[in-house]
Amino acid sequence: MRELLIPIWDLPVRLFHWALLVLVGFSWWSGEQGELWLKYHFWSGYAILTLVLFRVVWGFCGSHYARFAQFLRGPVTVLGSLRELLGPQPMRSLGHNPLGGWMVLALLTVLLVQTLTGLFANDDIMWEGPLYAHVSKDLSDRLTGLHGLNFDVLLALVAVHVLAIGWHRWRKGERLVRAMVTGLKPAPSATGQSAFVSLWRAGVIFLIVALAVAGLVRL
Amino acid sequence: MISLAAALALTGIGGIAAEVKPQDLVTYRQSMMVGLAWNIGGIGAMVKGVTPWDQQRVAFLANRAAQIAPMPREGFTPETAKAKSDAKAEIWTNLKDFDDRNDAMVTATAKLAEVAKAGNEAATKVAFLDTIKTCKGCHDEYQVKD
Repeated sequence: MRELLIPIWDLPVRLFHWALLVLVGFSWWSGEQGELWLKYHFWSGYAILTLVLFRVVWGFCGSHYARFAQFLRGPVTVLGSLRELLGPQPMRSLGHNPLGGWMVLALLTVLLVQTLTGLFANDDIMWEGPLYAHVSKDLSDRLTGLHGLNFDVLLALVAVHVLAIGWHRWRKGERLVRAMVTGLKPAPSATGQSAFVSLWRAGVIFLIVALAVAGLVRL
Repeated sequence: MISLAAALALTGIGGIAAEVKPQDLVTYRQSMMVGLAWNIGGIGAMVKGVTPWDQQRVAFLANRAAQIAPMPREGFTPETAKAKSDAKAEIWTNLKDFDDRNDAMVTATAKLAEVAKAGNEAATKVAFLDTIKTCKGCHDEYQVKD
């Protein structure tokens, strides 16, 4: 019986997650619309790149459950967690479970590929990514193609992610959407609770990353 | 490029496309499309607000685009299917559709040139957006995405 709600996801992680949902959705839509919407597609892409880079840094110096070292486990552990994943009880791990942890990494990687290829892309007509001038047309065309293909990979991963959240809800009774909104998860005891890292740290990191991306796209 | 020019000069231009090497036809049509993109892109920069709007310049570029627009089609012959290009093989099994889309592009650029000459900025921008739709309309179907 889990009586206690303990804080697991700090504000930066939660803001990151939901902002990403909105921005990726918008990038998808604006990319499909094309034409003058591509101007905002670019901006949305820059924002996603900033968020992803922030999350990577945060994975090294953020709150306990945000850190890669906390939730990335070897293949033996991942395989070992499969039975628990398939069963009807909530996971014992309070943060990302071993399989979910690798999904986080997969999503971050695919998003990084998506945003970075976009920087070099072109539409043959009137749009060029900000770093287009630094590559040959041939390379730009190939990276544009990759930008398209990689999006299909991203969509597939997102679909799996959503299905997994559904699985956790309906099979295991875990309200993960709510947890990612409030930051709180039910726990059998207060063991495993960890104080959140200062928001100032997040603010400074975010600012530095944002400035770096801004500088990059003006290159 | 020089061999292409020489081949065309020797065989006489137009109507003798069958005697030109398929790869040269590809080079020709791609060059025409680059020329088209140059002029359309120049208008695009003004539509995006990257360069200031100049109706006369737009009309000039649009007129050029309208003249170039019919030119790439001549470079699309079945023989070129074996040459190295970004053209999908589906063109040759959907030739009517391909031609329809090409015609749409030619019509749209002609309209753009007309509208730009008439002088109304808002109408020109609309005609421009209609034109680039036709570029995308063909590329989405028949251009290989690397």
